[in-house]
Amino acid sequence: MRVAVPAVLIRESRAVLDRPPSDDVPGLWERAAVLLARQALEETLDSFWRNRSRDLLKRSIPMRVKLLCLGAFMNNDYCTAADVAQLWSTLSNACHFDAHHPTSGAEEIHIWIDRTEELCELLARKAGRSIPRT
Amino acid sequence: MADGIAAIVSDRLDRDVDLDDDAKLFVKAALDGALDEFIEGGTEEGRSPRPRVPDPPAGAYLRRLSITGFRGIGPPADLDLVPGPGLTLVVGANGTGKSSFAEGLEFLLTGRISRWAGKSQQWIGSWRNLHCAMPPHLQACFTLVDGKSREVVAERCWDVKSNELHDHTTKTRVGDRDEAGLRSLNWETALETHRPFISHDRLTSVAGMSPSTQFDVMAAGLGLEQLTGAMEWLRAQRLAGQETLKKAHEELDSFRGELEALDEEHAERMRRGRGDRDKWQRLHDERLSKVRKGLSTEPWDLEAIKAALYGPFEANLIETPGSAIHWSNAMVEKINAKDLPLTFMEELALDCALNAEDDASLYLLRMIVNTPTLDITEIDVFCGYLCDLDQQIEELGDRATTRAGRLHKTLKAAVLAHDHYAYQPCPVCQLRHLDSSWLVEASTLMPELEAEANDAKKAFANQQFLQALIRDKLSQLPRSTIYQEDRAEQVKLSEWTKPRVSDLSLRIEDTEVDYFMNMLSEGKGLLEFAETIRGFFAHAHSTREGLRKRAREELKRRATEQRYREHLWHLAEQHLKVWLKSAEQAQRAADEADAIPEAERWLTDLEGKERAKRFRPIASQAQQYWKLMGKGSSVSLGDLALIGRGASRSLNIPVSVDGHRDVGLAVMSQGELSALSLSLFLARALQKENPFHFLVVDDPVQAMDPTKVEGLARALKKAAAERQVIVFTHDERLPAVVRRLQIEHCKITITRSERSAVQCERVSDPVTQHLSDARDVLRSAGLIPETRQRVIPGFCGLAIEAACVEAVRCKYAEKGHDPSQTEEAISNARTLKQKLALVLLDDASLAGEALRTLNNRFEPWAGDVVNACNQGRHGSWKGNPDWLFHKTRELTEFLRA
Repeated sequence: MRVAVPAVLIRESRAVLDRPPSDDVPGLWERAAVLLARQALEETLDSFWRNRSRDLLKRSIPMRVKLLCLGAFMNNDYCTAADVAQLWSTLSNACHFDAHHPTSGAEEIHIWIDRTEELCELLARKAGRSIPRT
Repeated sequence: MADGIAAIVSDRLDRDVDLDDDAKLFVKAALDGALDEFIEGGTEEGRSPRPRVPDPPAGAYLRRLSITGFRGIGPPADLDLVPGPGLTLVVGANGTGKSSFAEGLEFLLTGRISRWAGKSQQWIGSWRNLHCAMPPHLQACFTLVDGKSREVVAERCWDVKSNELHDHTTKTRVGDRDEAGLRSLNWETALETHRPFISHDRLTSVAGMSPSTQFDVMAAGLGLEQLTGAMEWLRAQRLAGQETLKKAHEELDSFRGELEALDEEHAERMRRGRGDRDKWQRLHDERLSKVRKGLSTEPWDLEAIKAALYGPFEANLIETPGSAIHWSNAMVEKINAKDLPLTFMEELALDCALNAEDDASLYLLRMIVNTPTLDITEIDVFCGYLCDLDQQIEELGDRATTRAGRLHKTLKAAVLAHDHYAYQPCPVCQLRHLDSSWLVEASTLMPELEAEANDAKKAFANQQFLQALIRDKLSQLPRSTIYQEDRAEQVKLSEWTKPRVSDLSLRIEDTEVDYFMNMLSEGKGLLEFAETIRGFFAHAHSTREGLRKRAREELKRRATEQRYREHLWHLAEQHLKVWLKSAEQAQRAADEADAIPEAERWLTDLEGKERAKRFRPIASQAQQYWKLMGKGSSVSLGDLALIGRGASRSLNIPVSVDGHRDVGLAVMSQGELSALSLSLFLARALQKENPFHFLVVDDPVQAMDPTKVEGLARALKKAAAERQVIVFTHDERLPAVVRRLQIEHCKITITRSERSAVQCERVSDPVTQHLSDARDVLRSAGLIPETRQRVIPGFCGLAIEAACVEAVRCKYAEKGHDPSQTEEAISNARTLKQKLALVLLDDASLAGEALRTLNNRFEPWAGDVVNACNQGRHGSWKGNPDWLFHKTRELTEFLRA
């Protein structure tokens, strides 16, 4: 399986968001951008686990549990772990079409992408190496 | 707080060398109300009372809120809270009674509900719960932060039949003492300046407020009330002063008119030529002249006018040729020059009076007329007494004194016998005849004997007791008004006019008594002495009567002139007396006219600086909150500032969008406006002046997008570090974000069943939250033991720490510790062992003893649990995670019990 590089995903995510709006499916590019950002975060987390605990790389383990464990593997930095959990949850919620909540605006998604980039870099640092650029 | 301002002002005043001293006095007076001490002779009469400096109100946490039969709540429902800093989320679906709790507390404390303002009677009328037959009742229990950690219960109760919202009784209970009303909490001002309630309505209203209202909302509670009060007082003083001055000038203008009318009348009389011109001019009242002179100066010479009105008579006398004073001085000189032995002052006075035409002369004349008649009969009685005394002395002398007296008497009898029967044998010796040669001998001997006898008598009369007797009698005589010569120079007219007329009827003066007694001791016999006195008084009497007659005649002659003069004066006097009061106030106001505005300017300047200084931390806090809540927003917030004063005051909210500066609030979305308002309110709530350590936020989420909700959660976390933040929300997004962000909080759910039965249940708190995280990891399938060994201790450690914090708060509150000290102790205990030491040994520094104590008090494995948590956090623990989780749960239960 080809391993996507988080930095590329983030760049793609931004590019997608800047596209002109889709006439057929309202909010299409916004959701796509969020999806790419979430993938970037998940890829970064996977590479973190690869470095710190292969156990948590398992697909069978729910994301919530993985995120709960994150703090303990970041030298008890529960605060940053909570930030990651919150970001993942936000992105995850935004990916799903919800009839009750309007699709998030591009402005807000940009914030999330920035935040994703920021936390990915932090996670990579904590994992012991930077995100591969290419 | 208030002291702080007074100290700042006093310090600045001392250092300010440019400010005028009077202005300094007014600044001080406006602040601490000690004007009397500063202004000599100044009175506080007519000044408005200065604003009172209030005591700082008691700080408090909310412990419990109990509501019955109010709004959506039927049977009694309690909302229990942890009285300390921290976040509590009260979550419930719409219509479960969340707002009833929030509004119940607001109504309990303030007696109104801001959300109801402007609502129809139909809306307000439905305040009672329809499902509750019990009397409506609101009760809140507070823990005071006053170093004693007392509990205070505030209540509002309605009668069971009452349907009127405002028909209730309010009381406060401190310990077992009940007090009507909520005054003992002293929160009236603070409820205005630091409302501890933030509702959704209020959050959205800030942007819609006028700039001056925004200013007022944010400037309130900066602790500058004392300054503002002082400035208002000064302003009132200034306006009152201007008003008084204006009034006094207006009154004077009309009074001047009166004076002119009098002048015209006077001129008319002169034209008609009644009496000679000089006399009419002299007639012009001296008092009036003095008043005119006093009014002509700038400022008015009120002292002179007052003296004319109320002063002693002689104060108005001016020595001019022809005045009575002039005459009296001349007379006194005459007395001194001629060395007159005795002078009748009345005579002197009449002389003065007749020769002068001024007020003094009239006064003298009146006084002479009013002098009481001398009672001559008393003098006669006294003289009779003296004669009797003389007789008695003579008889006494006969018996007690010398041979000379008796011999003289015998010789006198013999001479008498010889006169009748010449050449008789001596009836005493029978040896010799009383012939002419004997008569010659006897006649030479007799005067010698008589002189000798008299000397003896005088010596007797001079004896002290006799003198005292006479002195006593003498001093009871009516006043003679005869003065000794050496007194003449003291007797000036002013002294003469000073005593009341009634003084003249007083008894004879001591100096006069001395004068007479001197006469006696100079060797005059008592009979001669009596004659002299009788003569004196008879002369005094007839002189006085004569003078009186002449004075009466003179007065009669002058009556017409006098009536006219008094008429003029009386007219003026009435006006003057009224005017003088306003004039005195006006003069004081004029004296202060420069100092007050200067004091005002000084205070205004100080207030501006002080406000800016005090607002700066709030502004920077607000900015921090905005950074948390407005994260990612294209709107950035510059330096907030309170600017301007008076009508042009405003809260400057410099907003810029994507680099465009000062674009105004209109660019902000509803969610952004709410976030901005909340930033401001939270920043203000953290001020140390705020006595409300609790803050109720009702439904803040509404229009917020996910990013804003996250920002809100972070902002609440920041606020909850220092205050007890209670958030009511129906939106599950906030609790979810708070939980994900690992923000320690209590979550209370509200459910409402049939007939408005509302129940509050604490579903989670920091301890259960950490334990639940641990359990989730523990139960998750597929994790290898090493992962669990790495993760579980962390959550267990956090759970134990949270339990410790809760235990410390409870324990210290029960002991009556000041909550702020408790929080300080908690924040100082950083490690798990230190926190345990704080719970078990009341001292975080005894961390080394903590585990042993814990094992002794609880179970021997307890220390192992703590060690496991600490080791696990560093990835070096290899024990059984299941065991650790269950033992941790037991340990937290023990700590919280």
